[in-house]
Parts: sequence; C-alpha cells; structure tokens
Amino acid sequence: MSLWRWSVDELALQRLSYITSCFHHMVACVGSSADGHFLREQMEESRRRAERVVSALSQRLLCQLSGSTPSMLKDRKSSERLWVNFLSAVENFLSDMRKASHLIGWFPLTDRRTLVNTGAVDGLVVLEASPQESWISLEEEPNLDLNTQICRTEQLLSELQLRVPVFLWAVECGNPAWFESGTELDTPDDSLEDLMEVVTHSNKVSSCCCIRASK
Amino acid sequence: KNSVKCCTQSNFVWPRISFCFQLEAIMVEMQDPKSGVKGSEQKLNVTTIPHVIAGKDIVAWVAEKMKITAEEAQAFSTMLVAYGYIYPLQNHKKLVMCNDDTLYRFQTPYFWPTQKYCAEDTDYAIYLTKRNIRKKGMLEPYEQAHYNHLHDWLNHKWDFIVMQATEQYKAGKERKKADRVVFDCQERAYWIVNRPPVCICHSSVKHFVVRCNIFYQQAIMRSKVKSSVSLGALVKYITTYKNHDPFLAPCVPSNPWQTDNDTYWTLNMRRVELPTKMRVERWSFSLFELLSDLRGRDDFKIFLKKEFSGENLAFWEAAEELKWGTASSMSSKAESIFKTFLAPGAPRWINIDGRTMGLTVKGLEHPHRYVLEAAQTHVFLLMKKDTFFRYLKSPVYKDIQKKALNPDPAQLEANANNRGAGIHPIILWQQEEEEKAKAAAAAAPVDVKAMMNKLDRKK
Repeated sequence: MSLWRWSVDELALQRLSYITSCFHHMVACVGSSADGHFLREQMEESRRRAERVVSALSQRLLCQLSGSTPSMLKDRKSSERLWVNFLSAVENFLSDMRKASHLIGWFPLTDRRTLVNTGAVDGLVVLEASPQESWISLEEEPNLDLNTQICRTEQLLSELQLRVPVFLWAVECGNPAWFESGTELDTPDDSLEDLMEVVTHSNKVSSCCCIRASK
Repeated sequence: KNSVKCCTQSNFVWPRISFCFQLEAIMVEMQDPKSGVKGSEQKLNVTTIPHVIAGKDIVAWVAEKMKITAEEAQAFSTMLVAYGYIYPLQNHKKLVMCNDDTLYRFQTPYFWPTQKYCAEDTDYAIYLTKRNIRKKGMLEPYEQAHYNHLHDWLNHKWDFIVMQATEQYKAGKERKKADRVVFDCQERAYWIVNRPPVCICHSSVKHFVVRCNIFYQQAIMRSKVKSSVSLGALVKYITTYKNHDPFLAPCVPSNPWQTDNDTYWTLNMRRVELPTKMRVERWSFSLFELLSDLRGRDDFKIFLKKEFSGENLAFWEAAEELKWGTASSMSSKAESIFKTFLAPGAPRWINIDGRTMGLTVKGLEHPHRYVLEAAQTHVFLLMKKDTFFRYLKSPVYKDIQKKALNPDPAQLEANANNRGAGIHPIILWQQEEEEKAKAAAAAAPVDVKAMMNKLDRKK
C-alpha cells in the first residue's frame, strides 16, 4: 500500500465532491428564473463526469477492501474511512440526482412563464476540466440518461454495501468538530447579514435581515 | 421542553397530503408575467437582485385569485411562508406574511416542501459546516447544539461532510455575487423552516439528558433473548403444532367448507362425550392448551378430583371469573374468593408462599380486576410444574387417549373430489327470472276486455 496510492484515491474523492457540489448548485436552480437549456446541459455533463469518477473509484476501493490481502492496521483504518466517505458522497449525489429528476420532469422548460422568479439570474457553475480525471481509464460510456444513472447508482450502492464488510458507524472521523478552516480560505468572508445591508434613503446603512431591524 | 424538540427532531416528515400539489399550482400561477404577482428590484450595497415582492401585493393577488377576504388571504399567504414556498427578506426567522411593504421572495423549487424527501440530517450538517467555514462564530446557540449533536451521531461520515461543505462553499464563490446572495438566502430560509430556531435553556437540556439516561439504562437492564434462542423456540413451536395447523394439515375427517359435511364440527363440540385424538394430543402440549379447551379442563378436573387437589384449579377459575366479570360483581366475588381460598382455615385453602399471600390479602382490601394476578400466576405455575405432568401420566389421561375418536377421512374426501361443478349461477338466475315473470303475469290484474275477446274468439 504505497503512499502515492492513497493520495490518488483521496484526490479522486475530493474531485467527486467538487463535481457533486457543482451539480448541487445547478439543481437548486432548476425550475427557477436561472434555469435554461445551457444549465441543463451543464448538469448532464457534470453528472456524467461524476459517474465516471464513481465507477473508477468504486472499483479501486473494492479491490483494496474486499481483497484478502492482509494489510497493515493503519492502512486498513484509513482505507475504511475513505470507503465510508465515498459511500456517503455517492448517497448524497444520488439524492441530488433524484431531486433533479423530479424537478426536471416538473419544469420541462417549454414555457418559461412557469419558472419561479427567485431572483437568481444565472445558475451556472462551470466545471473546470481536470487533469486529475485523466487517470480514469474507462472507455467512454454511451450517453446515460438521468433515470438510468439513478438506477445504476442505486444498484452500485447496494452491491458495494454487500461486498465490503465494513461497519459504517465504526469508523472515526479525522476532523475535530470545531476545526480551523483550510488554507485556501484565507480571506474571511462576509456573512450573509453583511451582504444584505441596504442603503436607505437617509443614507444610514441598515441591515436588511437583522433581527433588530424595524419593519 | 423546546430543547427536547431541538435534539430529537432529526427527520421531520411532511404530512403526506395532496395539498402540496395545489399549493405548487398556485405558486406557479403567481409567476406569470402578466397575471402573476408583480415584483421589483432589491438594491443592496453590493449588488441588485430582481424579483422581490411586497407582502401587500401577494395578499392582494391571493385575495383576487381565490375570491376571499383580505384576512383569509393573509392567513393563506402566511401558510405559504410557514411551509417555505415564500421567504421573508427582513426578519428571516419570523415566518409570517405581513400585509404591507415587507419584502419577500419566492423560494426555488429545489427547496419547496415535498412529500418525497424529508430534510436530511446530512444536508443540515453540511449547511452548518458551510456556515462555520464561511465565518467562524456565526452559528446561533440552537444551531451549535444541532451541530454538536450531528457531529456525534454522524461522526463516521464527518470527513465527507467537511469536504462537501468546503467544495459547495468554493463552488458557490464561483457564482455571480447576486446569485450567490440569492442562493444563500434560499438555503437559510429552507433550514429555518425545516430546523426551526428554538430557545435553548441550559437547565432543561440537563433535565432532558437525565431523562434520556434513565430511558437508556432501563433499556439496557431489560432482559434480552439471543436470537438463536428465540429461533430455537420458534422451531420447537412449529414442530409441535404443525400437524394441528388448519392450513398445513388437513382437518379430520374433512373440511366442512369443502365437503359440505360438518362432522368435524360436531365431533369437536364443547361437551362431547369422547373427544378426537387430535384434540387430546393438543392437551398434552402445555397446561395452557389443556385449560383453554374447556373439554380438556373437564378432564383435568376429573383427575384432580381423584387426587383431592382441586382447589388450585378452582382458585384459578375463580380468578379468571373476577378478571373477566362485570365491575359490579367484583367486590362480592373478591370477598367470596377470600373466604373460600385465602383466609386462614378456609375450606379450600390454597398453598401459596407467604409474600404473595400477604400482597394479595392486602390488595383485596380495595379489589380491582387484577388483584389476584400474582396469586393466580403462582397457582398456575404450581399446576404446570407438578400436577400437569402427573395428569399426563395418569390413568385418566391415558384412558381418554385410548377412547378418543379417529374419524376416517377417506370417503368424505373422495366425495368432495367427485363433486360436479353444480349449476352455473347465471342459469339459476335466469330460471328465477323466468319464474318471477310468470308469477308477475299470473298476478297481474285481469284485462276484462281482452279476456272477453279471447273467449269470443275461442267460441
């Protein structure tokens, strides 16, 4: 179990997390004023990429965990943790896909008047191409439609849970509860309350959504 | 009290009623650029966001659309806010519709209440983590309590939660500023609806925890049975009873529903002289079976009479009568039972241990239906452990076993198999109709003129 191999899997999981997060943002726009054909295409693109990462990563992890090769306890522990996180990620993505399927069926984009005016204008989160996905050496699958992908993911999940005898709840996480945020988030961000401040007529800045705001 | 809801409210399930469909239809109608609710732009410091609507416009639209009064419209609109279809921009925790210039916005369909999915704890954990990443110290006390609770019980996937929160946060930063504000508002509104803010009182939290502790301690102390043991008991039960099961084994002599012959019922009646072999065999399964079948109970009484130990069964029967009898007769029954069985020197004194006797006598001062429960159980166990087995070995039982009937099923079953299909109900019905028609014709009032014509023609 080389160190290099671990980082590849963890990076792959992070990649999956990134793709599914973009998908999450896009699904939240379906049916709203930010919805459109391009958004839907981007959703298709992202879920297909997610599917590839899921297949590849599931195969790798399956090899590591269901195999009978005795591995070191520490390796086994982090392998199991990765496994649990992977399953959680797939479950989370599956629930988003189900919601997407439901919403797409409901708002078919034929009549833009039915879209809900939520204030959002552009739902796009463009996925960047990633060199990290080039390690996935799967053949190009013919285009999967959403419902087929949902079925396949469900089947994959149940198969994975049957084949790997890891108790989900027995795994301990690596992060403490109240941790310091990572180094990428250097600049402390404005809170929603700060962003929602409105300049009133009397040139006094008042918060739009603060509890103490007057009506 | 509120903190109880806070900590135990994990997946609140929406009521599964169809009103959601109707509300959704109304929400969509509100969007129509011509006939829907008019919106305007909201100018913030950092950006401008379209589609903000005033409360009074919504209320007016609803009143017009549904042809109701302004008060009703306001109540209806408040429901739309409470369920999360519309959210307030100012004072976001107060989910009411104000009939004035208060600003609202439509929630995106992704966050609408739906019967299909409930708000998942995992998603809530991701949301809270995102808030925490964005700016530390932003979580309110009730949110912190939720967060700690979720960290405990979702601990195994916490790495995933942190990772997903980070990635969602980063992806959000890629969006345009206005859209980002909108999405954050939407998300916040969704969680206000699905995990409502509660005021946490620390002492009530402690009280809640203490009660939880007691509950779990009691659960641990309860006696448990290994599944291997209970499965073994199930196997034993099936082996014993399988020949007596009316579905798994044929009735002897025959199933009256199939052969139209009710010998089976007549042979197994309450006061039959000689019972069937199957019935007698069933008495040997347990004392409970023996006593439940009144014929068996009679036989048991015969045996006990010979042994001069009938008082146990008599007491047991008296206790049953007390349990199932009328409320008005209870005190008199209790008294007679006491005089007959429990008082020192009573004619049919039962021999139960001192502690049970003491409790029972004390309980009889204020008799209720189950006052003899302990004594009855004790007596039942005495009979079960001793008398019952002696009964099974006794000449009384062996005698009845020998004499029991074993009816021959062969001929009746054969008859059943040879039965024809019978007349088709439709044919029977047609015959009935014909007869009815004839009878109606015969009973109809006689048309004198027609009759006279007929007679004339005959002439």
